[in-house]
Amino acid sequence: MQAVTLVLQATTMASPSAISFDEFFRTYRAPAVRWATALVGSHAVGEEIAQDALAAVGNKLAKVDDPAAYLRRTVVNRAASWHRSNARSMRRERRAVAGEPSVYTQPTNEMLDALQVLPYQQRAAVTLRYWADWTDEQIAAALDCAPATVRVLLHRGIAALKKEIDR
Amino acid sequence: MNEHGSQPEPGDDEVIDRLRSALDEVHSADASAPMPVSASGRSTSNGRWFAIAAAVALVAVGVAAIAVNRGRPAPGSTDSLTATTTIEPPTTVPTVEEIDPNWFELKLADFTAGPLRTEACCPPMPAPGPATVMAWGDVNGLDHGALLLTATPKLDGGEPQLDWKWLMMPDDRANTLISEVVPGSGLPYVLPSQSMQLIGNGLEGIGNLRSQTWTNGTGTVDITVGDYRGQLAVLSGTTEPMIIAGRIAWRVRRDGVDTVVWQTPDGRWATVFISDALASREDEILAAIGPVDVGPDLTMPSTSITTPSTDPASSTVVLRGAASVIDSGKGPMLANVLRSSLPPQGGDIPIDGFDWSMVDDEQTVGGVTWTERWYTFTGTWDGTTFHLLEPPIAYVPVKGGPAPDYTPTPNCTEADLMPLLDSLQAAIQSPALHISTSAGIQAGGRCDADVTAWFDSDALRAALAPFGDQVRVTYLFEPLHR
Repeated sequence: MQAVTLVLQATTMASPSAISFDEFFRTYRAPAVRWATALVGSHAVGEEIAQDALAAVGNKLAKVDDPAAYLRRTVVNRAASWHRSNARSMRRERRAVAGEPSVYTQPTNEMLDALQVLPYQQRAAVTLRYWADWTDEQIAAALDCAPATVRVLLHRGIAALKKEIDR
Repeated sequence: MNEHGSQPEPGDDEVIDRLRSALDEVHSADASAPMPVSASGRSTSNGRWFAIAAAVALVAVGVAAIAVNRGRPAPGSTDSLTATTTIEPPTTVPTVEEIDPNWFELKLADFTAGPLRTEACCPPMPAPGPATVMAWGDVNGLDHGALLLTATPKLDGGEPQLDWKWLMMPDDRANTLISEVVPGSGLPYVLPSQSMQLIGNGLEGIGNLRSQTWTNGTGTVDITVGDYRGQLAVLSGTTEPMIIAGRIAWRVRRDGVDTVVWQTPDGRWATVFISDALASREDEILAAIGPVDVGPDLTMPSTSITTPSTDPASSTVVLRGAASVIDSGKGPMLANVLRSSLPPQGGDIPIDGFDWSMVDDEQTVGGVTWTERWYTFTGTWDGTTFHLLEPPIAYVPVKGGPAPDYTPTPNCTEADLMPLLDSLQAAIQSPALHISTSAGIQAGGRCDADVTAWFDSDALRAALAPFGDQVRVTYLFEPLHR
């Protein structure tokens, strides 16, 4: 199918034009989980975000020219939403347990802790560039900024990580 | 790194390395990673099966050792190192067979069992020694490809001669995989590919082996079970999948002999050879081969064997596909994409023979248990329930080929689409028949629809028949043919 002028979906699970939903899901599920995990620092949350993003993009396969780029952007946006929601949730929990002895601890990783303090755009830039191997242009498209801005984010992100783990 | 370029500055590399390590750790449970492979080449998701098999094997080996030693000359005699030991056929069912799900027998009244023979590994061999044989199978199943290596040592101690054979995969993929094989430090050779796993490693024609011959005066049926010693090498381009003793097997007819090869629950390899004189009874004989009676607690899947049926909904067609599993209180069900509420919702196909010990990422919230990842399931579908034949393995995505081309048919309008979708929805109502439906107008005005379905079936074909070639169907589970 070379061009689709109209697609009506009978269910929430759409099937496709140039690529089928199944093919899309099979091809991009693992990378999407990897990207999302990098952005949120949790494999379980990354899986959830990736699943949602795949379903969202899968519904629009017939309408988008570059499903992979659209998926990258969707994952980055949903991870940003999760960070915002998680930050609110963590603030609520901190208030709720203030002064209470902690009954649960989990192993910590210095680098993951350091990543937590980075602004989301810096975190996204360094993890997607150095772990997920995205190009500056791909990161720029997903973050909706210029490639030059990505390079600035990378510079500041790495500097912030250095500073954080040197503390 | 300066602010206007991506080139790292001194000191950045260490931070980047630590970043990668930290995220690797977080991501170590990646759904795309193949299951860790044990020395026997089996994945950890098979743990429960192997626990049973290992326990059984330990008892069997112990009892077998007693039985073998009784039939052996006293230690120190000249025959004590003989590699082949013969045990007279018992007049009653021997203890060793009562508890061994990894041994098989021919259950036909007109056949007489010969002596049970055991070969111990490994008799002394003249220099330069036996060839090493190794086999790697696609993580999605042997029908997706297997690579076989024979490494023949040289008398002068030089590099062994490597001979390759591949099954059920294109030449270019085989050549790529061969180029990736490197000498190993523990194993003789290692194939560091995420798409393949080690399924066999041994010495050519040598290794622990049990064998028995059944005769009926017309021909012979030989059954062997043992270490990997190159059993897969008998397969060739005409190989067909089938089920024997409840397990997936591979069948080939060559030089007048019907040969079937399969992997036993404990990871060893079994073969059946049927002589040409019994050609007219091959299917009957294969159907009568099953594990020995192992009692109610260790019962293996029922003894049944069929060649693949042409009826797509037949419960004898072995199907393979990827899905999640969810149990919302109605028993485990296969699910395509789980709706992302907490707990999630979904599940279309009841699955029989599954338990949660077969997967390692299940979660439970509010009484709902589900897997986050997809797994590859192999089994049969009876029109209602999917019957699992093997433990599921972690699903590894495989990139599909290009989308097929369709000839546009003009004159479809937007007003034509909704009736098409309505008709499709009315025709396919069972969630067991399909997953999704969509319709669109293509370039040139062709009006058509896509249906994604769990399985091919007569019922689905009948439902879609009125739509002709307007409808394209994608199946999540496909027959184990190649």
